[in-house]
Amino acid sequence: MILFTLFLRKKNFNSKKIISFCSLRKGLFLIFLSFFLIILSLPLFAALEKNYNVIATIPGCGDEVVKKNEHCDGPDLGGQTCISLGGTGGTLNCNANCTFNIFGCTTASSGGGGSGNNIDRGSGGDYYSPPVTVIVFSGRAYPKSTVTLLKDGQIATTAIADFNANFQISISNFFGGNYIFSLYSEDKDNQRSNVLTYPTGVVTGATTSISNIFISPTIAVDKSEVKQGSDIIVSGQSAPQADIIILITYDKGKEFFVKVISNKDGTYSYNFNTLLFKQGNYSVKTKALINNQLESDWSYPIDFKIGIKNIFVKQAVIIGDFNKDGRVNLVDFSIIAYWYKRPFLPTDIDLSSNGQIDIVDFSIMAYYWTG
Amino acid sequence: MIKTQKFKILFILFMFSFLLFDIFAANAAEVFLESKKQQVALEEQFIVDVFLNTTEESINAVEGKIFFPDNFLEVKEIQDGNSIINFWVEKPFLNSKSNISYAGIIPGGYKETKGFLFSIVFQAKANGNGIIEIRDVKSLLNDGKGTLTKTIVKNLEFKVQNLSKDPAILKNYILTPQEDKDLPEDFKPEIAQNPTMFNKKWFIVFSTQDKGLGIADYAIYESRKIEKQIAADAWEKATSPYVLKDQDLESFIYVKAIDKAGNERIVVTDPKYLLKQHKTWLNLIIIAIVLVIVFIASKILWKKYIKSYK
Repeated sequence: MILFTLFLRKKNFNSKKIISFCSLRKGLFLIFLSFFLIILSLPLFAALEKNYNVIATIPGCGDEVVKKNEHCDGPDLGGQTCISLGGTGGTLNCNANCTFNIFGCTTASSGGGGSGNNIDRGSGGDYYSPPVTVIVFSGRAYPKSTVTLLKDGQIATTAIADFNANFQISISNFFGGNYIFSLYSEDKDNQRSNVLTYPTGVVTGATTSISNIFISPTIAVDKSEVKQGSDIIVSGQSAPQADIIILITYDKGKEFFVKVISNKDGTYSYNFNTLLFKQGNYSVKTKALINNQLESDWSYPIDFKIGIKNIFVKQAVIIGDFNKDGRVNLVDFSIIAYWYKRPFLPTDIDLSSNGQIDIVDFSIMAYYWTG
Repeated sequence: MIKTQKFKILFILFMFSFLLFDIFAANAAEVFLESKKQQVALEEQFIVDVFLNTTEESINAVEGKIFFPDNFLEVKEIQDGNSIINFWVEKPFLNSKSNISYAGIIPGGYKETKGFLFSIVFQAKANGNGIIEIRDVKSLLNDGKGTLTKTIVKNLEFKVQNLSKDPAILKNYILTPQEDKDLPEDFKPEIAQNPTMFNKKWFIVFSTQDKGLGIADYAIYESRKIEKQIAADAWEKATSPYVLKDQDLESFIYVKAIDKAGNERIVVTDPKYLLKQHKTWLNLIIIAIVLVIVFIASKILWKKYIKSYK
């Protein structure tokens, strides 16, 4: 703008004359518009500089030459066709991850053609399907909650449960072998459930289904210490209209049970009055039942104290989350592993408070693992 | 008569101790060794598998040592492919000439009667008898407190006999990858920084599993451009966590997992920030666009002004 003004001045035009021109106004407007557009576009460029952890898998894939462990690579199908793979025709394509895309392949709908095992004769009709390894988990969580599936301790995928808390979650395209699959869910307040673990031997090309899973309820208390005689609120979420069993343990083995029914949105709440209970340390956990048939595991236990004052819980601390990203995963494992058997360790890393990082600290972390 | 009574009492005590042992064993975890061969020929290789039986408890961490007489046996390889251990704190390794140490975790816990931990490939090097022993074993409950549970062990006896007459038996057949064509599992490295580690330098963490013979190595390559092919000698052998060379985080980070059969999986993590040179180019492009717009606009205005002035 300054340059432009100088330019006009050099040409002996005074500012009054310039401003009086309508066309000049339009011009100025255009210039301002250009600047405005550029300024608007700057955040876009800035956004490019922010974190973006996109992960791509390139097992030698993408160079358009089929190699070991690749079905195909781009246009190179390794000499395979729909027919050689057992179909009757159509066009075989290659997925970006160098596996065959067989959705363009056809088979004889009468079932007379093709090669037995590889032909999908289900309701889908005429599509050829090579052996794909699939595992499917289904069951109940909480209404509209996010269910996370871990494969060998790392997040494989997530799914959203429906209004009735039903969920189905699956992964495919992995190799046969022994896996530890784990599932957990998060409620509307971002509280996490206990982790359910399923050690599973998966056969290549087979579909494995694990059903009737019932994820344990989430649990929270409003106070870490409650004044004797006052109430402490135990709350959380489970499936709608489920029987929630609340178990309070104290005095080295004494137990107090109570049953409540969760609301339509799966939430539950119980006011535990401490008038008849002695001062001391207590622990509470919950589990859910549906029609006395489907029973969940126990939730995480939460400790609290009956004492002389009320101390409200501010924010739940995630045990083992050393980098404070809200997750307990490989990064945290690496941090604690770095200090394994090393001296002068930071105090917040010593989960067992025994002055050293040993297998006990790893066990505590493994319990609170989120992937 | 007194002798008979004493005998009866001793017998009852003996039986009672067995009963107690059974009750104890039923509630304890067990680490045990298994091998298809307990009698081997001199120079023959054989595999010993290490298993975990959790009985009725959920266990999420284990550690221990395997001792063997190194005058009879030599460790040729340790295979942890298909292990129930998801993350090794100490991947099974030869701690000294005669013992192997291991420690690892299973997030969420494990409750099965025969969970495979790892295998040891031994080669017999002298005639004689011996025992492969499990010692200093620890199993921890998945209870959030790291509670130690009682763990019993089942050791393995072996016998090395004279040299076999069959030369085929002395081949290193065990070390040959048995049709292991599966790649290591897909994985997702993560870039992190921690005030207590590496002088606050950025590092990358990674871990994967192999369902065949196990992971042999990892290698890393950092580049400021997308690579279609990476020369074999450009890779740097790495362990997690790995301190990044490019602390500006402007590089693509390629992590390669290689299994013991030579299968490789490469994953790439995109740069956390835009390259400096890209930023410079971007700025230059923006300045160029602005100058062009200003130039065109001034031209138009100038023409219009001249026209109207006339």
